Amino acid sequence: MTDQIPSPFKARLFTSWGFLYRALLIIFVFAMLHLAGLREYTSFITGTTSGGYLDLLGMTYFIFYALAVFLAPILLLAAAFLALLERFWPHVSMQSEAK
Amino acid sequence: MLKKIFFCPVCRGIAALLLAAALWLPFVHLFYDQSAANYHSPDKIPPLAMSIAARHIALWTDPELRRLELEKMRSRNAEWDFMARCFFVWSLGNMGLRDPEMKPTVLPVMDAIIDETVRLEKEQGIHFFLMPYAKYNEFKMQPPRSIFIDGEIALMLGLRRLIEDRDDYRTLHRERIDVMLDRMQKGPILCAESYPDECWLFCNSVGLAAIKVGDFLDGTDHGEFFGRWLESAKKNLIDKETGILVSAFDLSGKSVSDGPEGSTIWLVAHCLQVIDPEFAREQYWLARKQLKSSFFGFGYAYEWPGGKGHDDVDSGPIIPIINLSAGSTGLAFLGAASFNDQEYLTSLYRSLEMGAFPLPTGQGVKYCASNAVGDAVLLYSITQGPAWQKILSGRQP
Repeated sequence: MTDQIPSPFKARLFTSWGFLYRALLIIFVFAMLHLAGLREYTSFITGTTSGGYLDLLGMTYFIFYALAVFLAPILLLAAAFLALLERFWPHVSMQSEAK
Repeated sequence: MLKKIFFCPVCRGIAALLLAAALWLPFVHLFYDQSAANYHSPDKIPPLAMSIAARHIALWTDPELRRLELEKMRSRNAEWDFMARCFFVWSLGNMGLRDPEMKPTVLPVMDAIIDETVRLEKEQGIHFFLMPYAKYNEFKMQPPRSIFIDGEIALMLGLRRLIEDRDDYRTLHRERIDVMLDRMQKGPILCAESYPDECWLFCNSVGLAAIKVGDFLDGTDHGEFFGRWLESAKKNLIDKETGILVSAFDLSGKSVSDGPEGSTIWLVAHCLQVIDPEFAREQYWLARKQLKSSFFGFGYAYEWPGGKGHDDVDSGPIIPIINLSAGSTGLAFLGAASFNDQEYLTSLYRSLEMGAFPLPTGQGVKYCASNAVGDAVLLYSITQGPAWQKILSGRQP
């Protein structure tokens, strides 16, 4: 992880900051959906649908929940690995960026 | 190769992601592990059962809450309304048997549900609890009756009587048993129709269990009929490829419309425990071999052997790629609990904690992804045991 903190809107995907920002974004969106009470609408999973937009809200919650549980921790770990790599072998990232 | 990965930012990123996934995914299930004491206890009612039951007792004692819950289910499937009632009463029956101090709590609720269900069937007819297609054709056996309705109501009455007998319920129970026996024995392969010219093993096995409960309570003996039924089932209803009992077939038994499926076989194996425990066990393990699956330690069940097949109203939605069936997975709890398959049960409870979205409420735990029938099946899987043990121990002289 470089000393300069890049803007969340400019961090490239396959960098430690890129992974970190995306993980935080997923966690933030999921937290917002959770606080908004969308957990209540996940009954579409068992086929008990409202037939309306509430099902879409439930699906959105389900997708972000799955992303928060399965993907966000992977992104955080990957960000940590890349940060360690950059800290202990800084010439690797400098050479690759020079290319 | 390694040098290329090291100096290419994208390759480095992908390698980091793969390494992170390899570290995270095999262990994520640990965050969802539950203490087995929460859902399994050999001598008392587990806390999870108390929590689920508390919420549903509240539903059944508050007309407005009950109306909303039942409307939600009936709008999708009238069978769910009926099955939620039955599984809930069967659960309360087992709770009352497990802990006699619960009798004053469970009996009024059981009676209220039984009375209302019998009343609705009497006033509105069998179609009130069946899916609309039951009206499209004539039942082969007349007058029209469904063993789906008769079997499940008979088992409700039977388990209620196991706690404490009541003359009026004895009459109702015996009437249902006589009707079921009459129609099953008239059927070419000793099975009765659930829908017009459609026999479901799910319903017939519940019917058999209800008859067996009647034998225990009233001293009748249908051992000879059970023997003939088993012989017929083994001859006509075993899927040649898997060795598992099929799910649906016509009255003649010559045409199978649905082969082995999870939403049927888990319950069938449970019901057959009181008819032929060895055969039931064999069916459970065959089903487990074909239907059990897991995703990074999270257990679930396919609807169809090997996960191949389409979704339908019984399977519930099937999650693509992993082929998880909500219906089969829900009933797999019952199968695993009935046969004390702790390994599978542990992995299923992880999935429940992860994917059913539990929400503590003032009235008890609510599984947001579930519905009343899903909760009732889960509750029954946790509480089942005492009724079957009592029946298998035989009548006291």
